[in-house]
Amino acid sequence: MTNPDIKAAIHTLIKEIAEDMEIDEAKITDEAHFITDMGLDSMALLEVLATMEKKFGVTIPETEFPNIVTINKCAETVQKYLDQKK
Amino acid sequence: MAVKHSGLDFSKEDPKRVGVSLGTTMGEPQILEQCIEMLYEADGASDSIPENLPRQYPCGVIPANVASHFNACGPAIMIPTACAAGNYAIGYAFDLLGLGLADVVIAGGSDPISKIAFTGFNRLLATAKEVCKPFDKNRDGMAVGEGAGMLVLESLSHARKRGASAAIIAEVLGYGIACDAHNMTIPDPSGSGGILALRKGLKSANIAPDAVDYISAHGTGTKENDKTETFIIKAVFGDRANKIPVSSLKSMIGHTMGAASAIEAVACCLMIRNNTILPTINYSEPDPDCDLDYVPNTARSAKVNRIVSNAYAFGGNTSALVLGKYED
Amino acid sequence: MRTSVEQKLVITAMSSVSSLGKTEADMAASLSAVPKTGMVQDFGFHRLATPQPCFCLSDFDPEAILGKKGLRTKDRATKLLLATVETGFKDLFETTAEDARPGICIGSAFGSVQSIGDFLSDAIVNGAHNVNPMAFPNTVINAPTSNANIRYSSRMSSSTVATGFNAGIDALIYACTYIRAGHADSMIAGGLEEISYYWLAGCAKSGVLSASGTMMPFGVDRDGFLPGEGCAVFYIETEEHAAGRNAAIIAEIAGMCTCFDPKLDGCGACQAMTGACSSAGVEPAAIGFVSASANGSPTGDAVEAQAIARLFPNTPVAAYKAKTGECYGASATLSLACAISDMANSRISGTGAPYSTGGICNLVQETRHHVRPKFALINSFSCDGYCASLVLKNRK
Repeated sequence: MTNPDIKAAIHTLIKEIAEDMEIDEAKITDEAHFITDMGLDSMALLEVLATMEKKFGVTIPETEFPNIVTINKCAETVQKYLDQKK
Repeated sequence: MAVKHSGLDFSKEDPKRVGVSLGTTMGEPQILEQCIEMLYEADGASDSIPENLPRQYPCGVIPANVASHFNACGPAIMIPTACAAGNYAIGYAFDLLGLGLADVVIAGGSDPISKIAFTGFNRLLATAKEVCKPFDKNRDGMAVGEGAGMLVLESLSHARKRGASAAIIAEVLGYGIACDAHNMTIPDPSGSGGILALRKGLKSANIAPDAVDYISAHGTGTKENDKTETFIIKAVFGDRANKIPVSSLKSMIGHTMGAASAIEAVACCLMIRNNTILPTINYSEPDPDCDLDYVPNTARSAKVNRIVSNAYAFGGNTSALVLGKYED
Repeated sequence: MRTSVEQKLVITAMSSVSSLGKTEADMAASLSAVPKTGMVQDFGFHRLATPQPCFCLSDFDPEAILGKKGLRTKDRATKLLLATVETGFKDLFETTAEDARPGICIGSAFGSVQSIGDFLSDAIVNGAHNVNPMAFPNTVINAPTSNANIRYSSRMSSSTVATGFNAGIDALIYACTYIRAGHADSMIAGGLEEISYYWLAGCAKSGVLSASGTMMPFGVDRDGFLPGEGCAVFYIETEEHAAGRNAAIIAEIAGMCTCFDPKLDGCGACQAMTGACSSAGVEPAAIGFVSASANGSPTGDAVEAQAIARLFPNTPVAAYKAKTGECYGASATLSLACAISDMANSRISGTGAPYSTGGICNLVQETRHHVRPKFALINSFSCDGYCASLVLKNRK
């Protein structure tokens, strides 16, 4: 079960990035692909990864990067490494 | 070393006709790093920082130090256009000479290893795990480096006047600069800035794409740069693109930031003089997105008369320097 | 495009944001008023030991000028440049086809040392592995310029110059050189510098700030400078290009010279001033006023005063830094904007409250009205050795 705080944090950040890029809020859903559905770029993904690492005190290896392409997948990945930490 | 190599005797030169044109990415980052580390070590107190240290940080001190050392009293400039700075500085020197605003210009670029660059590129996941393998299918980033490359540019008439014609190593034929105007760190996938710079460079040099014998690539070893650069070369050179050798010297010396295109220019001059093309090393598996002749792993003898050297940077700054064999 | 060192180059638009304000009307009004300073001390990661008086921006609201889009990861220096360009050149960009938009060249001593220093500080405090990757692009000195290129889809060129105090004036000269070499018909060029913790702390350590909290160029009691910040940007084009689009000419860059002085003994200052006049084809006596580089430096001001006395013994001298502070890379471009403003208003603005200069130069302290100088000389001489002068010709 993914910690709802993680998902909320990711959602807030994505919303902030999307607003700055004038992306329609309606496109921001848990299953939407960051790049192909929302129109974000690789820098945005990097920022999400870095912010979640810092916020939740986890280190996510580069190999996971291709996986964090939706809010759900991102939250699951953070949860996975948070659980490993415990 | 470059000045010594040129044989110039500055005591015989009019200082007002000698200029300096340099480029950099970070300038003197180690000074700022030292000052900030000292601040933190002293809980915010700045007493331990030497009085004369902060003033050495602004990167304008670099050309100033060079100009002071050689008593160069002509135009002096620092062009910090990041990883393309060397080409920009050499291009400006070319213009100064072409307009008769100087007779000699010491031109090039430098960057020391910096924590900022190393940290930053790591945080961007842009650094290679083991080695830098430009254009290879398994390339995974750049190798952050440091260095300096310097050239002495001189007008032909001045070189002849002091009897140095025989010492001419190569000729700067022209250059082009442009901008992707797309993103600070991601190259424009349509290659707009790179294509524009290359075309402007060829036009400035008054040579046709057909005349180019070799391309010194920016070739950082990142997935995006190498793919986009291949696209740019094909867009400008068309069908001939895969007949022109292209290599990345960064495979051998890493990415020396603001020094890169200056060091590459030095290497290009030597390639022209020695009729040898330097390779892209660490190359083992071709990438379908990068399908040109990258001179894999082994240097090659070839007639090298006309070279284009690409350099791109953060901000989407692009450039192409055109060098050629000097023909009387 | 022709290559020629003789080609006439004109200014057809300009914009500046500084402690003098955001518009030409603000600037004209401020030049007549008492200089406005503020106090700064806290900068996030670091705090100055004592509050520092400076000529900082007041009420700078980039979002009000630029809207919200695209500003989230931009630093203050970049926003300052974007705000200046938006105010003066948004229409120009919007009415020009993308492939014909002018390139941009900005001079700045640091780019944003606040961003660079904070990146390092963040790495120390929070660990290098926790630094925000989005902060990295702001650490390259060409970031502000390139951000302007991106915002306005300007692809022709993007250049940055960083020759310390002379960065702005050298950026203008770079633009002129680039145009004259035949690469372009026009370019947007200017200077940019923001007040930052690292610059102020560095100045304090180097002993160049005024301990008395004053800004008295050429003053007998001068003891250093007060820092300032700002951005001034100009549209420079060949006269032909301007005529081709029926653009009104604000002023002409009639002459220029940039050089280096290893000895800092005034030879470079003389070389720059005579070089600029000679490239303009004018005798020194034709110069209506000199805009000095002087910033209250005990030695620097004296060197400039001597050089001016030698070449322009009777010419009035304006010291705009009394009103703008020492704005480092932006300083000469702000002085140029002030000179253009004065020319448009047929006056030479004074330094404000009088102070003794001991007759070191013909300093204009009380504003002189009803003067219509044809030519002005803008100086920028730095303690690093860089020397540059521009001859400005009134075309109104």
